[in-house]
Amino acid sequence: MTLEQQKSRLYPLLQTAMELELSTIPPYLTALLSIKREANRVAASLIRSVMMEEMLHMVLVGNLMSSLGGKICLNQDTLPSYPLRLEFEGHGFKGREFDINLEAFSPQAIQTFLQIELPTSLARQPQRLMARPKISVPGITLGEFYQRIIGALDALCAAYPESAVFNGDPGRQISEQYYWGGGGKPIIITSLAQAKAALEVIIKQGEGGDDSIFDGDEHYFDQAEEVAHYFRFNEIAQGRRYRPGDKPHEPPTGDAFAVDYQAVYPIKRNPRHGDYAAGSRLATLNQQFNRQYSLMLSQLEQAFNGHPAVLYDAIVNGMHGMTPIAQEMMTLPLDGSAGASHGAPSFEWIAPPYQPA
Amino acid sequence: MYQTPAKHPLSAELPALDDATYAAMWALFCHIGQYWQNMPDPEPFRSQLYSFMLNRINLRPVYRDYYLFAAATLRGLIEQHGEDGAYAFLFTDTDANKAPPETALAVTRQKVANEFMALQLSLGGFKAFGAVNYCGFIGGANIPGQAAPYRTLEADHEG
Amino acid sequence: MKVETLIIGSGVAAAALAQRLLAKNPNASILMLEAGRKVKMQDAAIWQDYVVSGKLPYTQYYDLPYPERDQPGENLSAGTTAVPLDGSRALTYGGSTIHWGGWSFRLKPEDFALRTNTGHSLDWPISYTDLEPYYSQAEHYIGVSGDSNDPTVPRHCDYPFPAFPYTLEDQPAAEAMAALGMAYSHLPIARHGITDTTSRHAPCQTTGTCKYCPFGARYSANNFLDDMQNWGNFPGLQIRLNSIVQEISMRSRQQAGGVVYLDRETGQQVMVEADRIIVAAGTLESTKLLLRSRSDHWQQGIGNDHDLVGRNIVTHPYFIFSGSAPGNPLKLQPEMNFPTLCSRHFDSPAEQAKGKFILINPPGSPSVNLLSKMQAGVSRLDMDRYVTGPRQIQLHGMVEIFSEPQNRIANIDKLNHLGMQETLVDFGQAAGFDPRMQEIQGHVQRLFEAMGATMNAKPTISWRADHAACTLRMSDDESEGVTDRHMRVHGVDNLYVCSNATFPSTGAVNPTLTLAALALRLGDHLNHATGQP
Repeated sequence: MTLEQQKSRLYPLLQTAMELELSTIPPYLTALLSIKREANRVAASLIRSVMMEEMLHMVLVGNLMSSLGGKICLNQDTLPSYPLRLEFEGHGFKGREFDINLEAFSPQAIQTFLQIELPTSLARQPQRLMARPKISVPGITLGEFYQRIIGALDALCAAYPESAVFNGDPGRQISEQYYWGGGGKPIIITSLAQAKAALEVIIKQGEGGDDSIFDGDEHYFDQAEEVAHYFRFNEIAQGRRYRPGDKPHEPPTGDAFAVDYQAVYPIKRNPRHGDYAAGSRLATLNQQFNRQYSLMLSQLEQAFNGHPAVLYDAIVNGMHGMTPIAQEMMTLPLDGSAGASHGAPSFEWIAPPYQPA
Repeated sequence: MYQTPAKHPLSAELPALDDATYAAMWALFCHIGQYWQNMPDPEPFRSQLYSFMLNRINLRPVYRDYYLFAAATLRGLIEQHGEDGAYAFLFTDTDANKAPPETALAVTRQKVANEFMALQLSLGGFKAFGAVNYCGFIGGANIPGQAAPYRTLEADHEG
Repeated sequence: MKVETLIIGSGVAAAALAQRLLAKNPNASILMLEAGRKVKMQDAAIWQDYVVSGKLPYTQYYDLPYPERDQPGENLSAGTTAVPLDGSRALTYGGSTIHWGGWSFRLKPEDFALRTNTGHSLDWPISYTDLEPYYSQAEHYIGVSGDSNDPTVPRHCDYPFPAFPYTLEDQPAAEAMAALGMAYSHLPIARHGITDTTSRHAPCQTTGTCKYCPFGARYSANNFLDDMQNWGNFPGLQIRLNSIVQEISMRSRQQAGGVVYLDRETGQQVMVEADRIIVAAGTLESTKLLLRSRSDHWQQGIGNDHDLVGRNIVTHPYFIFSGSAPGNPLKLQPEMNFPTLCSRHFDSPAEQAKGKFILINPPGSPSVNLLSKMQAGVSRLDMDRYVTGPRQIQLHGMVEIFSEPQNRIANIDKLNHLGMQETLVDFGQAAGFDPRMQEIQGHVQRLFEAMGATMNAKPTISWRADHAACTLRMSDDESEGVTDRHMRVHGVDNLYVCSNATFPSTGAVNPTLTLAALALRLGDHLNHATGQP
């Protein structure tokens, strides 16, 4: 097998990684925006910080794909749709699987988020019936999945010179000026060490270091130690912050904070465009949202595949443009019936009127 | 994150722009670069033209009509002058640039073509004239240890 | 309703002060009353509208021009020198930092002893050394990019972000200044940079549309207040818009009790009681509020027993010198939208008696406007000739002027288009101003010659009130100043002013960094005074 052939076996793993990171963002954003503005500020801040770091993870994966010479695909076929079944492969036993939903901030939503970010050290073997998976993850946890990618890169670089493995033009990658607002910065990847550093950021920000609740990025990022995503969600679940010295298998012992699951819009779970009456305000808003969302994904794809500057357009138009639409939707009931659910964006594809470059 | 959008109340209710109109506007954008020879490869900016047009319509819904109007006007001009001649005429006719616009040609020039020129320059068309940055172009950050995103004074002038 | 701390205004002074109070006590009871509305910032559609047409969404919250023959206008200019108000301030949530350029200079040590050094005006009751630690904190709070090795002012702490390198467009001015022995330096600018820390504030992306930055990289108080409200977990913080404070009501001569404000949405007058009140409404409105808060206790207005409130107003005359250069072989064009090079050579003790001044190489010089040529149908060939052809160049600057008691502002019993009382400005330039400008012109003339350019017009001088100050100036002596060294109104225990109005003098530089430093210092002072843990 040539180097190119070996590399091309890695590309689907990186594409899966990209889809995984992307798939977490609509659920986190939906939960975040469902919280009424005057309540749950600590929980909202925690979810937002995780969501921002998932965007960093997307950039790191995109840079790695680009450094190897591969291409990212973000379009109608690779768009996550909800409920999204994640299936994690076990080692000789039935693995983990669960659905990710677009749903309001709630104890169930937080439990799902904990499952997404579950550290390998805490993984057990729940039994669930198999259904057809949407994203199949080679690894019992996200962390283990990324470790496998590290292993594959190690093997490649043992057999070939690094410069041949990482032969993509670094000018096509996303540099640090494109990312702020989260803990960490993009890494331009031209070597095995940099590739591993990037993947370590993703692993540690998700599940923490060995026997540590902290995300370990303070070596390249000058800030107070932050706990990893799993533990941030556990803070919400427990209504209590962690303190330095707390251990992964034990509950947090820091300050308590209020979590009010009632101060939340009663949005419909996993909405589809068809749920909104034709000609209704919700239908119009959902259309607008999906148009912006699809354009943003298309621009992300373009940015990852060699035109980083398009990312600015996605940033300036994307988040600022989409969240007000989502917020308005969440204040609107689907119909006039008592106790009716409220709307929320369906995150579906509306093709932009051009073939992306 | 919690701000209300700057959208005109009508804008959400309008039907989306059709593919043919977008294609005509894209052709206009490309011809700016051809006429002034300042953008040999406009392809990477397709999504940004679309995004710009959506923003114009969201802020001022009349722009949807301007774009439809411009597409029709261009069809007529191309029939009359051929493709290159049509754009040259649009870009240079002095009557078309007299404000306020009172003809189909004037609306197309002032509300569509002139604005696309502003966009085109700010996306990178300005570089053909010798500069590295431009007001409206997102040049990038001043990253410590790297070259500034604009032309700088020679080092021996420092301090 | 009753609150512990009432802040009038929502600009940089109010935001910095509130942040310092909440840092000590996140549950602090703080009500902020803003007369204006909110402007949508960082909106992609509005930003592109600005790129394409130059239109800004907040100019509707500017004063109208003074009345002219055919235009009713608003406000009144009564003196011999008109001080325009329109464009000088933004009466909106976030205040004037919504439109400011972000020039973030420190005053120099000699500025704090103006009277001792020159006989003019008044000394500050504090020294540069007293304020220096707060200057550093203000630079970090605002996010200033500057040269930490610049010796112009002493500093103990680096800027949070490095200076922006000089542009190629700075070269003619830099070479000319060097040839004439005029020192120049990096203009300290409020633009976020890249650091190794999480920041909700994006780094400056040199987009060049600073008046409406799509990233929020230029400090703007509205963004910081939004952050505090949306993500800050401050249950006692409340900000009310459309709330025009009519007057401060006194419980006794020495105790302010609260305010009455007009709720523009309902048209109702609302009373709020407060344990302490900080007026942070900008020089003009803060001053007018004290003047019109009349009672038996304070018949001339609060703090006005010595007829000082509203007097001694100064601003910075801003001058623009234009000239023509015969050609532009380097194709110099505006690549940035903020200045990178300035000279404080004449901002020195030697120049203090006549009026210090600074020089700026403006980012729009040399003037090259590609878009207007393209829109006019000019050919590529002719555009290339235009870029390298004869050019208009400019040098800008501002000069310090001195307080005179007859220069003053007051209320007019008429409402402006925003529902606020109009302003009377009675100002006349001093006899020494024209000779001073002649001297400045001489210096700039030599610079133009060294740049190979010809000065081709008299300078434009704008007296616009952007940097209006001194109308509630600080002094230890209540017969000379309205506020004390902690910006507390003399004679009242619980009323403070956090505004450029408290400056005894302005030096030759923009006031905002000094104001932010004073706001943080006031926050510390109030935090210690309440004895809160």
